[in-house]
Amino acid sequence: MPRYRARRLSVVQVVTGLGVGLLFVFIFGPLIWLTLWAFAGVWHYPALLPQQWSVSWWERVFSYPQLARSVGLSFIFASVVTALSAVVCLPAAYAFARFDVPGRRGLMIMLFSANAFPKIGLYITIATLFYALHLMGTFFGVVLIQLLGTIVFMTWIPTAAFAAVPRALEEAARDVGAGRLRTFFSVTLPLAAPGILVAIVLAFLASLDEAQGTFLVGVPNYVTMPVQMYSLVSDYPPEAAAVFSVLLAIPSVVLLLLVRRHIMGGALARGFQI
Amino acid sequence: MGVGAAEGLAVTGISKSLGGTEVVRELSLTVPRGQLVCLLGPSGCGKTTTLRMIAGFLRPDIGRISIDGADVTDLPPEDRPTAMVFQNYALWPHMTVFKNVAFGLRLRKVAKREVNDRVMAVLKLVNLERARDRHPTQLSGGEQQRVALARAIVLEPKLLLLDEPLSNLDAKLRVVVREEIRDIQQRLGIAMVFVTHDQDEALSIADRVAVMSGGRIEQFADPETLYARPETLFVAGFVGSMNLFVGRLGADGVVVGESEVLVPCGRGCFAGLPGVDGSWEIAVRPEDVIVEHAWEAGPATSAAVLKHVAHGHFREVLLSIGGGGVEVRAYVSPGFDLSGPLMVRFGRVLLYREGVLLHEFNGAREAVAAGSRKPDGGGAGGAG
Repeated sequence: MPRYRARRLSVVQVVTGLGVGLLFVFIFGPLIWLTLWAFAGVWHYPALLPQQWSVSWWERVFSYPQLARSVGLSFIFASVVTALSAVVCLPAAYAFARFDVPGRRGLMIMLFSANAFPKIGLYITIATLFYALHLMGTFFGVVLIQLLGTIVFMTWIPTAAFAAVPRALEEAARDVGAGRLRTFFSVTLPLAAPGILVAIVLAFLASLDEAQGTFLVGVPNYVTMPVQMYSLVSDYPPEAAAVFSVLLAIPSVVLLLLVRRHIMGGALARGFQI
Repeated sequence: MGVGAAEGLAVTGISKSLGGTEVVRELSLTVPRGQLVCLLGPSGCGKTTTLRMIAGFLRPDIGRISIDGADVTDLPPEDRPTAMVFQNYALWPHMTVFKNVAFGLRLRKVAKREVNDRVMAVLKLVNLERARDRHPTQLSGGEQQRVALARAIVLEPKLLLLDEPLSNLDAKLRVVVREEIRDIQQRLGIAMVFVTHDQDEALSIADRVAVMSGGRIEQFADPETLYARPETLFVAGFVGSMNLFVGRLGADGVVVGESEVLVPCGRGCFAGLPGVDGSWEIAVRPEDVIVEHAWEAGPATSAAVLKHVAHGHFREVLLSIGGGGVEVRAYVSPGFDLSGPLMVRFGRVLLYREGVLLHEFNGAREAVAAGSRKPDGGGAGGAG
């Protein structure tokens, strides 16, 4: 009869286990706590779990016109910004990938620079420009400022995706009679699609989560969910804030789970060359 | 069938520079309809560049290309009546085998039923009917290659271009597939240009071979001629096995090596030869090195065996001749006794000056043939 012998754990394993455990608590603790709050009816300290569960706060949140409006606006902006970003950046990405653009490296690094600096400094400078151009408090102004955060995703990732499509495949299409445009839509785009999808998702989420710029430019006419969060904590009960946080987190979690397979894919990593 | 024929491919004086280096220099070539022509040469000789210019992926800096009499030099690849089989097959992984082959037909707005018939017919030709709904990644290398060939053939092109199509296959498969390609080419009567660095491949299936080096065609002739009468020293050394020496001509033979070994070729063999003095480049095929036992030999020079390798129906022997540092490769029959003193003479010798074939001496009869090199294979050696 086989005997089960408990393995003796080494010190390294114990420490690693503790480290992972702490990280888990640190990252997921607040998220779990928030989720509990979002569904709590009555919850008094020092109980570990709410005494009463309720979804009434979800109804209430949507009944506040200001909050409901901000949810709608967030998604509208995210869609518009992502679409505009795609239209502007994808052709550039294709050019970077396929054509010998002079100063290519420099240009790509410049595009990255918008994300490299502390955003608030950048945005305040932009705000002064917007004042001059009468863009403050306008729909287009908010779109522009959110666009900035999406550019790096919409150029770098699709460039890698396009570059990963072997040139020979495009040449083969032209050889059998496809013009450049037909080749792009029949061969290049379908093969680059996973990478582009990831870029779109990341751009969408970047726009959805964008707070500082929208706060500067949009308030008080256009208030999106993240901007709303600033005042939410003080003006509304904690349950409402919790509901809002969960609402904001859901698209991120869902979309990232959907494209997780493509982000981890080797093809994307291989195509990533400056 | 001559250079002026309007049918088939005619390349005239094309040159191409890439990255500052001239990769193809004033190259001219004709491929009549129904012929299989190979571009053969080492890496960097410009054969792939030439092929890509014919296909339309590169524009020649100067020169013209015409197919069946129509000038295509300015046309992009999609407008040329050519079809190419790429080295790595370039099959579209997101489409099935059927869709891969049908793509070109769909572009031309061919009716669905006809598309189906033509695709299945060509898949049958390459023995891949059953694979029609599979994806390229599910196929073996040889099968992918056949799909690539099918995709090219189904469009009934005037010219089929193949870029080292067999280099990714294992040795045995290569032999089988090259025969299949030749078979299909002859059945369909398509003009074909085939790029390879493997001379076995080229010599075994081509009607004519253009041996290339440094962006130029060294010789353009059928395989037998290339082997028997290489017009330049490069071709002599590249095609088949060859003994190459630098030396001068003596009364009854050649004098080779630093130690000046005289190897007889025949009594008075070079008498009356113009330009007989001076340095010559001398080429002798291993099978033209006559090895005899000392007791039965006529005028010959002594030889000692360094190495021998059995090749089944013949034996390859490396000899050191004249007692002084000159090595010669020879073929003898498997039963030849290599022990005991041996003597060596040359039965057939090719003489080159500055890389160009000027004279051939063959056995007792002297065959003086002025080798005139014309780029498209005209002249003494070309098959016309």
